[in-house]
Amino acid sequence: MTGYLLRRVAQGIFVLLIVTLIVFGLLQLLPGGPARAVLGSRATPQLIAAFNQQNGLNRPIFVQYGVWLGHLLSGNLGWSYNQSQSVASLITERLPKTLALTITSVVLALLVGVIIGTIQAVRRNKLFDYTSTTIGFFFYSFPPFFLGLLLVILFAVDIHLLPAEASQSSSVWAILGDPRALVLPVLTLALGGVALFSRYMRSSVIDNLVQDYVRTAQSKGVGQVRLLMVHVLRNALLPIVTLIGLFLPVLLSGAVVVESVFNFPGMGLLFWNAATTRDYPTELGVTVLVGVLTVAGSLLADVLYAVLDPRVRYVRQ
Amino acid sequence: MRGEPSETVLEVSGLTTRFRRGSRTVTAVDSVSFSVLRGECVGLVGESGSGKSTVALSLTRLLPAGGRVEAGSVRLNGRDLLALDEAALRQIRGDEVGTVFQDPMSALNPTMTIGRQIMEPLRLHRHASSAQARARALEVLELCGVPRPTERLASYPHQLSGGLRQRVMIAIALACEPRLLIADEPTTALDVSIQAQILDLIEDLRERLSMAVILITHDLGVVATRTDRVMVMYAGRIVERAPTAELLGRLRHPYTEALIEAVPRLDRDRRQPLQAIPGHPPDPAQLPSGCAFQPRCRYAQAECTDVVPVLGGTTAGAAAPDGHEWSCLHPVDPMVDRTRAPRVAVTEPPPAPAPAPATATVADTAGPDAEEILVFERLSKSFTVSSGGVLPRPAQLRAVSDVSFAVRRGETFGLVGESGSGKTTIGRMAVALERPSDGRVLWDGEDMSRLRGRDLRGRRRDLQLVYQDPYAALDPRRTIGASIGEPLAIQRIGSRAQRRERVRELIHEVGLPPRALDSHPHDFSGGQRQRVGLARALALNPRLVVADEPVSALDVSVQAQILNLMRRLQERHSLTYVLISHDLSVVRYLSDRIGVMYLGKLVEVAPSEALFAQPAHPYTHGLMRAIPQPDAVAARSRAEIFGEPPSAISPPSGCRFRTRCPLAQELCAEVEPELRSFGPGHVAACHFPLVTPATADGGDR
Repeated sequence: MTGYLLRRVAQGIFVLLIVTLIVFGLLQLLPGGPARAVLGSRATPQLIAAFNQQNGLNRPIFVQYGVWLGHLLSGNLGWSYNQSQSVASLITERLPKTLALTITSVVLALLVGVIIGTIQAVRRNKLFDYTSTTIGFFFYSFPPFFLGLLLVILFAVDIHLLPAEASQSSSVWAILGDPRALVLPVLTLALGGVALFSRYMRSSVIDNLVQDYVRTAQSKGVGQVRLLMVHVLRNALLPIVTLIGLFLPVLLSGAVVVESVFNFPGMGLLFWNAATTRDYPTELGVTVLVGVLTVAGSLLADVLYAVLDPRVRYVRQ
Repeated sequence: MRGEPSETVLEVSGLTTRFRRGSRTVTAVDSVSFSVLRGECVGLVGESGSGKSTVALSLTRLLPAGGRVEAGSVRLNGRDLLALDEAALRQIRGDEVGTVFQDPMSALNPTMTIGRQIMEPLRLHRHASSAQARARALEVLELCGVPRPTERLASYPHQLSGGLRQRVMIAIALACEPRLLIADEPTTALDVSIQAQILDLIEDLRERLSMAVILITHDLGVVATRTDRVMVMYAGRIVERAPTAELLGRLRHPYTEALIEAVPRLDRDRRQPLQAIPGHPPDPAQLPSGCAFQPRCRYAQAECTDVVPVLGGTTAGAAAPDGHEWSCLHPVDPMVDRTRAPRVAVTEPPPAPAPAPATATVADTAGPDAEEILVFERLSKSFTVSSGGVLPRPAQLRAVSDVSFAVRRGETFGLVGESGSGKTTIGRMAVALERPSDGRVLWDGEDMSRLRGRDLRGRRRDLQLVYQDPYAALDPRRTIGASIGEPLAIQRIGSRAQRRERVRELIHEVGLPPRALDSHPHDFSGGQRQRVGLARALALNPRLVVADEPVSALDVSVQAQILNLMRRLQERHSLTYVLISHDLSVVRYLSDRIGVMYLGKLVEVAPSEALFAQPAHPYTHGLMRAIPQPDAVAARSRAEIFGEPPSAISPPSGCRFRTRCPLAQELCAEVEPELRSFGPGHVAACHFPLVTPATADGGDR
């Protein structure tokens, strides 16, 4: 197991290197540059040259990348010129909030999706199945920003049930302490996931219900509830676990949109603002972090898979 | 029969089960009645679609979706199970009735430990504490002959071999000491040597626990040696039933007769073609009028299409006194004593050579002097397998290890062995689908393993392969004509029209209807699909056909058709066959010479007759004894080979068979035996052979 984990981590680091290289290159291709963004459009060429000189931006791109990478390895993510703050501190401030948002969403989506999907499979081609499928596709086909706006209009503007904006507090505890403000962003992120997970869970349970081991369990005298909870659930969850790993990047990019819709002070909003103000160091830092989270997420999914499926864990004798 | 003879455990009457198929209902089981006594084993035989498994599933209402028991009663110790609601029936399942299913891999929950799966019925029915259930689980595992039961409790199904898994399956069924054990094809997925052990186990347990057993199988041999009474099913009905010896000795129903004659036997003259049953088992949705067997019956007369015969023996008046009943208007003459049918004793020396048949087969011309066309020289093949899921260590699995033999022009060389013996790998190397790790494959004097690209593609014309599973071997989205014609198109032979004409010929030759040309595989039965496989193999006029388990997925009645067809095609096209099979009877029927493989080694090669008359290797002997024969006088032979085949990654030292061999001694672990001569063309690798080696050329060790 340790060897496997080490190999996967090494793989992940390689992936991250490639990702940062691409992002670094892409940022260089953009017109303007940080100097103009910081100094304004009227800055003289001399001022810009001085800024670039001062920040090492006039050196060859590979040297710049090397320097940036060296800093990264020593834990220094860079300095945001626009916000006059280190990128690391920006991220530490925002990350917990985004994590709170995404983890709540994925857990909610998974929980509801698995339950709905299982019920659908058991009551296949009945009213509940058809209704869930229809509603599921409805939410799945909505772009998150539109869904977010719709929810705001419905629950915040029309019936004033929930606030339209997230808590602006800098502490993550304050955000978690105001669950009402979390409802709409979490819903926006989770609804698509519910549709996805329930869809997969439905077909996975259907596949498992016709397996021979289910008949064996019934021949032992196992009842319907026990059959589902003890025998089918674990086997049916296997494909879903892989899906969670694939769903994490979707969730993180969804967070960018949702956080800007709800003005939620997380990583997504940070990234959005950095992108619009050419805050390259911040953008790079967030990209690296999202990369790390994605790699870690899929690793977690694989480990979870091994926990659930003994066939992956052991050697065939 | 054991126990009190009068004690009826199960009484089934008028059982009728229907399935919803689309808007129609299909009757899968039609008015079936029977009873099983305490300690008795009743066999239920039939081909696919006969309804035998549906009977088993109907008893405790475990039918798949769409199935419903429509009428009848199932009385277990007097209580009607069909009148019980689901909750009450659950109390019976796994407690009073234990069920063993066919494929022990898929029938066990892959993510649950063996221990939990055995303990589950105890927790449910006996409300046992965890410790009590565990103790009982250990007890039944031991009872079922699972070695190291304590370790096994924590194992998962995939960590066990097929035979052990089936033992676990039986342990689950026995955990609560049921009164009735339903075994639905319990050994179909297993190797013969394992099959014998599992059947022994079921028999021992039945005696020890005085259980009633229903043994469901397609294999008449299993029924003949293991049951007290037999019921033969066809198209959802019981067509004949009798005590086992009575049925095999004085059968009355033409279907029973046809079924027995269709099975290749170890004790029959293999030159005589098998009596195949024409057609294929009927689809329950479209049963013929009158007697369901009438379209395939050789005794059928006009009235058979009008009258549905009733069980009981309508022509003979009353049923025979010993409970022999049949449903046929024109039953078979019971005076034909089947025990005196032409036969050759298995363990005694063969009688004088049989007179040459009227039509000389290619095999006859392919005498010992025929040219060796396919030569395997010290052939080895290793596969790199990963030994671990999450922390893989590459290991070498030696599928084939230093094997040498030659196939002569025009002969059929049979290759037998259990799963993992390497026979399929040799077959794939013979047609250059796999390259040897070591050694050479010489086809017509040319080293196939050196050929590449265009040369190899050209050579492939001569070498064709027929696969085991006719369902998986055909592209479901291609027409049969396109599948058969593909080899011609790849080799760019003829124009499109010429190719189509050739395909038409082939379709005719293998006995398929002309409409097959533009039909898709799903319109055809398994037997017909295997005909397509043969036609495709023949398209390029090959010289060698490797048939890998060509009939093991087919029903007995259809199997005989394909075997006869293969024989006919060989004669007509002067083909050389390499026939790979786990079934010694099938191999014997077609093969002139036979090679026996064990764990990657060739342990014995001999002319077919010599091998069956006097096997030299204990493994060959054990395999032959393990095959149950559908014979009234067959002794209830018990398993001779014990345990499971060891791993091919780290095979035993010396003789690989020694770990399972009844004759093994110290020498066997130290020195690997080499092939020695036991007569003309007969070699075997054993230190302690069952017959004395021929001294003349015994010195070539």
